[in-house]
Amino acid sequence: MEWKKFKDTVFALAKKKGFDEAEIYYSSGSEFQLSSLRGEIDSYNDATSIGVYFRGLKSGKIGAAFAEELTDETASMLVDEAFENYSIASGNDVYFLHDGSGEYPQFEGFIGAFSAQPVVEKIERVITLERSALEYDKRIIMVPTCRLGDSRSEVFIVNTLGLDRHYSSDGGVAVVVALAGEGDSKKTGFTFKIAREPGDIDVSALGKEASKRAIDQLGAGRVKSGKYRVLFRNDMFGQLFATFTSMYSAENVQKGLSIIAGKEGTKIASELLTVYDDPLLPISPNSRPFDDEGVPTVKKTLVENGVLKTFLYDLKTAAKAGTKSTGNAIKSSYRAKPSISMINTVVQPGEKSFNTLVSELDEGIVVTELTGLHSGANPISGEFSLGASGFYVKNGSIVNPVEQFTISSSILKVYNSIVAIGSDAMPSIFRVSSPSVVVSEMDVASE
Amino acid sequence: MLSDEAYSKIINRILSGGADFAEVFVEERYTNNISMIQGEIEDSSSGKLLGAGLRAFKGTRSIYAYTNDVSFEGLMDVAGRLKSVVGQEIERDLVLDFRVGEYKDICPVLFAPQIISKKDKAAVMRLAHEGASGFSDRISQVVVNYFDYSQNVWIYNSEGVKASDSRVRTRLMVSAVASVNGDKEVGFYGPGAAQGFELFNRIDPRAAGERAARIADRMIRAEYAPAGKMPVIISNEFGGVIFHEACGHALEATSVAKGASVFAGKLGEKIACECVSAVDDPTIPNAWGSANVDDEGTPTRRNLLIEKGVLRSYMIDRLGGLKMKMEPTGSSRRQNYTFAPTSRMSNTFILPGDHYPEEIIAATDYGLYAKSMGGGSVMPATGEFNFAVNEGYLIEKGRITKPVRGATLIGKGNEVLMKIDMVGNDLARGQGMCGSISGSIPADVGQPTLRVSELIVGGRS
Repeated sequence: MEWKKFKDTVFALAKKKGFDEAEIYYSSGSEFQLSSLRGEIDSYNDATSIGVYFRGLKSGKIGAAFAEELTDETASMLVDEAFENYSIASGNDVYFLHDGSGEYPQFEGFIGAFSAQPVVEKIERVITLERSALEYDKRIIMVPTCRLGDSRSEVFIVNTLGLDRHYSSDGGVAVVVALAGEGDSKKTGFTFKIAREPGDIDVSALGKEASKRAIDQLGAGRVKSGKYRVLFRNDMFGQLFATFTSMYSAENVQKGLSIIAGKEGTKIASELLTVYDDPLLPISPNSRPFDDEGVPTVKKTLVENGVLKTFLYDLKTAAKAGTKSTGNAIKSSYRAKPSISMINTVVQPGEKSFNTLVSELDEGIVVTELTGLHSGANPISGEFSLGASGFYVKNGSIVNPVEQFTISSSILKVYNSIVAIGSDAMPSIFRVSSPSVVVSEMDVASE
Repeated sequence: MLSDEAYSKIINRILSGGADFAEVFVEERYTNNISMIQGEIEDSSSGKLLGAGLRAFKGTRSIYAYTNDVSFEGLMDVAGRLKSVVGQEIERDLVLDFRVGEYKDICPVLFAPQIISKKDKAAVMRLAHEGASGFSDRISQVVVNYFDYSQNVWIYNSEGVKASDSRVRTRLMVSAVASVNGDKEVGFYGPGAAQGFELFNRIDPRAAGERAARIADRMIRAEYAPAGKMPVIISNEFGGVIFHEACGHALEATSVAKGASVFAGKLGEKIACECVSAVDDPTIPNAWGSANVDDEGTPTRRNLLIEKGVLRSYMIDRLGGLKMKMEPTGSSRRQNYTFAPTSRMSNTFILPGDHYPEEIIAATDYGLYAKSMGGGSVMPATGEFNFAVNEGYLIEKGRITKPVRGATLIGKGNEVLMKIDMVGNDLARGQGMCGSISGSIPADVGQPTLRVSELIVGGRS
């Protein structure tokens, strides 16, 4: 069935069923991915998909359902399932749909350069990516992961209050993991790059960097347990930061699940820290002109020189707090309920190069890998204890690689102990763009 | 569903590009997700997934494509794209005589998700909520999630395999937060099975809630765990996540075939202490990770991975088998049609030994007792792992002396296997979602209580 007819059919059924208002989110997209192993294409993925998410609103309560085809049968299934889901919804939360008002930003999310690139060229590039990693050094045993991917998507949101919007976007990513070995020591090095156009990915440099990272870790020793000054490499600080951004969600604040609840306008971090949410960041494939409730997005400062400026709101939490949605209702997939999250987190870079940060560290540890972010970190309490590896630094110089230690602290302690911020901002696949950051003191456990 | 003849045409179309093997996987899934926060249903959604994944092999090269359009025309179109990637045009007219695999259904279902009202599902969640929130006045927040699905799959391939399976799963998950003076700790328990609503004849939802609350309530009053190298006793059931993460992933063909596993080339060699035997068994009736056939249509079977410390088998999918020149072991799985299948664990556990758990604790002078484990991660190439201890206790002079929190365990899988020195007789399994390249899938982990003679414990004091 054609999209417009499907939409009309669903809205008519929703009205008949007894919903006050109704909304359909429709996404369609394609994904392409290649991976290389030992100079040959190891896997090739090519996909097209569609998804429909229906929400019915009645007396402030929502019922939702989803499907992956546009047929008459699907239209009635969506409305029936949504109505049964609505019938068990409880609590005092009052939901709203957006009427399409507000100023929508200019958005050029679709370039089309990735889809225009011939497949043979993509194949050549992924093989070059692997080869550049492999040929970097004799100690590179293999390249376990070597992948190039790109995707495009188109999103439509339309409802019975008059909202009717859509946007397209595209982008690509390269990921490479190199495995190095010498004696009993085996180490992996990981690099990635997100880009809007193939030309922004220097596959050869990326492969070499992954191998360099693996080689640099060979022969890693242990570090003595104790308190250390810690320098997080840009991507690592980005990952750590991203793990705890749920505390900015007004939903968590209103439910008592945020450790920064009630701290608007107060100092929560070192004055060196300034953080934005920038939904229109040109480099990010996650950028968008409106959120998944159809509300226009806008760039906002969350932390300015250490002071908490605002939380992030969707329609429901904004109404409850007597403010306006910040346009941060985001679905993790077409069939998920929108929930509040950052769109593109940007930690404002400082002035110092990575090497300057190392030399000013005096004695300390550089963290270049973190593990256990989904298990060893508690986004509610802010506490974390994570596996790490990196380098031991003495007298401002890297002495040797170190492995198998844990770093433990709480995120607000980290915020407050920031003593230097680098100039080396790096946009990551975790939707964070962060420079390298030095924290004055952390617990490090090993032997 | 299309006719056998139609699938035969689609497969022939893929083969006509010179592929050695072609496969069609069609999936239809009805699914429900309900989320209750502080006793209120905050989100309930349900719907139907429908799609197909087509795959071709040329040598050990794999080409995968998926679509939501499962009509004959839609699938022929995707088949045509696969064909053009494989290469040369050759005329193929293989007449496929599909053989239907015969098997006994190991996961019979009494009450399928479709026939149970959402109100009944919500009622079970409410009991779990009450169990957790009423546990102590320190419990400040309770989140209960429920999900079920009913998945039907049809698999056809160019070797004449025609298989179908129906998989129903139901799971209840409780997270309880305990707070004291702004300090928070989370406890979790999430029982599930490959069965329908009859799961709740076996699992008492209220007791499930109490169990999650007990962990949070005990940990909020605990001191931080000591850090450093020490003996660690890992409790049964979800404690098996250590084996799953640190060893199981490295026994999957995905990493072995690439030579990216520490266990590659070690079949028949001693990789663990003699007291360690382990299996991957997708044939346990109604277990969370069980299935009748795998996602390539191969009948599932129990695989003995480690026998008295000696490596006996890997978990192998069709593509991994081609690369390793070994037979597939019925271990190929995927989250859904949007993922190409690969070798994965199902229900993986260490077999029981002969020590009583009390005996193991009594034999330990000083160490950590990891009663409940959280999730973790591992780097298959190096075996380095990291995982969180959700509920920990200190052992001093052979006795449990006090609860401790905030501990993480880090080490290398191959080293830990050699350092397991006592294995208990209390085997139990726990449920988890395992994430890897073919997506997130239900998997049981399990083990008896066991002792690792030394491990690095990360903590704060």
